[in-house]
Amino acid sequence: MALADARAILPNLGMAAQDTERDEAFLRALGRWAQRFTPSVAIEARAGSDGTLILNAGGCAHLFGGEIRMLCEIGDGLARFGLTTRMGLADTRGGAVALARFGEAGRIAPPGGTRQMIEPLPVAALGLEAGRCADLVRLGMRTIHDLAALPRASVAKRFGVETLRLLDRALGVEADPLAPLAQTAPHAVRMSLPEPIGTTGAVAGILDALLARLCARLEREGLGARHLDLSIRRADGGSDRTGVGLMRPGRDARTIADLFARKLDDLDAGFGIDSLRLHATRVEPLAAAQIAPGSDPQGSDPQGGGAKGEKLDALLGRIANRVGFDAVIRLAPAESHIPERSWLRFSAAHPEAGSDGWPVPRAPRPVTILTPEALTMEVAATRRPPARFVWRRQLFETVRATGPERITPEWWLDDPAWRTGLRDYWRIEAVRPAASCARRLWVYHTPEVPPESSALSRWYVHGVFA
Amino acid sequence: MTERGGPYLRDGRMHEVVAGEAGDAAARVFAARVAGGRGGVCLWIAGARMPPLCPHGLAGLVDPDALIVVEVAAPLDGLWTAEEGLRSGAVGMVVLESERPLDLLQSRRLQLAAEAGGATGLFLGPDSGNTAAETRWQCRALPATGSRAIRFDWRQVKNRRGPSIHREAQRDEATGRMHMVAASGGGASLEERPGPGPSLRGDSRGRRTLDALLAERGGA
Repeated sequence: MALADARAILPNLGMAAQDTERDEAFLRALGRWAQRFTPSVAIEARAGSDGTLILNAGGCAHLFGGEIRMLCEIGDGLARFGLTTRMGLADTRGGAVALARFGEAGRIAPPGGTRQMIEPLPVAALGLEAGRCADLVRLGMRTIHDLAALPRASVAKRFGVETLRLLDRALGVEADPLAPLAQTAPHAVRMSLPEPIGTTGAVAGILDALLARLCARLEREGLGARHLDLSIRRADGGSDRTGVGLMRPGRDARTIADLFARKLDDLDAGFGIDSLRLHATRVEPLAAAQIAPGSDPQGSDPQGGGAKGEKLDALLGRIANRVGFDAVIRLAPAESHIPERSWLRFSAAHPEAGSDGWPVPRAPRPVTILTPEALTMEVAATRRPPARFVWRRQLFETVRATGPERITPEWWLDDPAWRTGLRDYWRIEAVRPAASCARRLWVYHTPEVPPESSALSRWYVHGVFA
Repeated sequence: MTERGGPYLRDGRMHEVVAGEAGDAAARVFAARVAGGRGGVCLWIAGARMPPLCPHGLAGLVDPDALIVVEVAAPLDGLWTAEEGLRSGAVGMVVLESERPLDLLQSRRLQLAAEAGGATGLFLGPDSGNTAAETRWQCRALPATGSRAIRFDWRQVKNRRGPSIHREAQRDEATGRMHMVAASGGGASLEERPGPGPSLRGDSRGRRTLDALLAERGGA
């Protein structure tokens, strides 16, 4: 039914756009929850249909007091989340899904009885495509029983091998392996409090306890955290969260607590905090390090190594948590003659930040690079820099000019700033009349621009030496 | 490729360079030279909208690998970062570029942080008037005489520890290296070597009475 028709029938119809990604994320979360019943849980999300959660109950049902009780327990748990569920249990995945979707609620096929249970169900229960189902129904094959009675060869020929395979899988003739979710326990710890707390000091105390547990676990697993999230639940049901990042993977509770210390004030405690959860959202492998103050295995570390390097990392971490990880930068040379692209900016958190040494520039480069600023002049200068020009509303006289150094644009990159073609760079020394100081500027002009287009402003300052 | 040699700025102190414009190149050359001469990691804090520092232009002054550039959006973040860096003891030098002058309180805080961490602080910005800085420098380029080298004029306009000195440096265009040339001015010591010494105002304790100081002077 089209939305317009539906709205004509029910004008105040609620409407929500489908969000497959969030649906899948929700199913994954449910899958993790369901891992309490069996280690082997798979999710099946097909576009246009509800998701299916598949639990391999083999060898687990007796732990819950039998299959019926297990189903009841799962159903109760899901109902507590406010979910409407349909469940089925059978020898095969196909059979269980068919029972869940088309059978009566909560049907359990006894061992070896799957075929009997699913035979009366419509063919759509096999999970066939809609078009294929319609074909089968048009030819009179309404139930799985009808389909199973046909000669196999002609089923494969007329309705495709896929139909036969689905049937075989549902009946247990063909193997149907599950792709279970990985058993990834999130690196998270939580603490619920008997009484709500509200002061920063109290939260910091709880945080220390949580960190001790989390860091011990990270150490056991040889991991270090790169980003941690602290979420709180308030007594009034609200929640809030804050997070910190680390420059290098780390599991030192003190360092992380220091980073959090500046963020705790951002948390809104409201009427008090009921429970806290600390989650290492990004973890990276971190080999165990021998900690011996004063001894530095890499004595030639340019940053002073050892304790000093750790102090630097801690400092940069604190800075980056305030100004942003993209704003703490290390520089590295780049292979480009274009002045503004001749170096790279790495976030200092990048593991490969730093360089293997800087090449000697083929010609002197300015200390400060400007966005090109046009010079204005009275007499057009074509090949050599103008003798007199105005820059930043000040009149300058060129005393000395060295150049040109020709730089051609990188034709493989379409840079709007370089569309004017090649540039001739000059280093000029300019003085203001009646001033004792001099300026050293890096100016260029663009000989490829036809002179008549903008003859008087084809000189630009691109950098300053002094 | 840096060679050691002045100007030496005293560790554990804040110093200032008057920068006439955002990204003032003469002031940056001075700061890079000091950072290169001092060695160690240098935290270089600049405004996010300032003209960028070109690392190739620092050849011969300081190794760009020793720089950690922090680009701050708000002046307050810059001050915070500088204080944090100075206090941490993890970096040898902190350069703070700002378009706003420091006030007395801010410079005093930075000064205390530098004392606590033992790092050299250098503020590049407009002339801030009365601040807690140890020295203040004015840097500009002079018209070249003969050679191609860029001549710099480094003039102390304030020195809490003695008479102001005035130096001239030449930066070779090809290699980028600096050479100190004859300096004029009335300073008794042109090279202010780092080292402990009796002082009235800059001392970290700063609570000595004049009598104690005079006694110390007499003894020395």
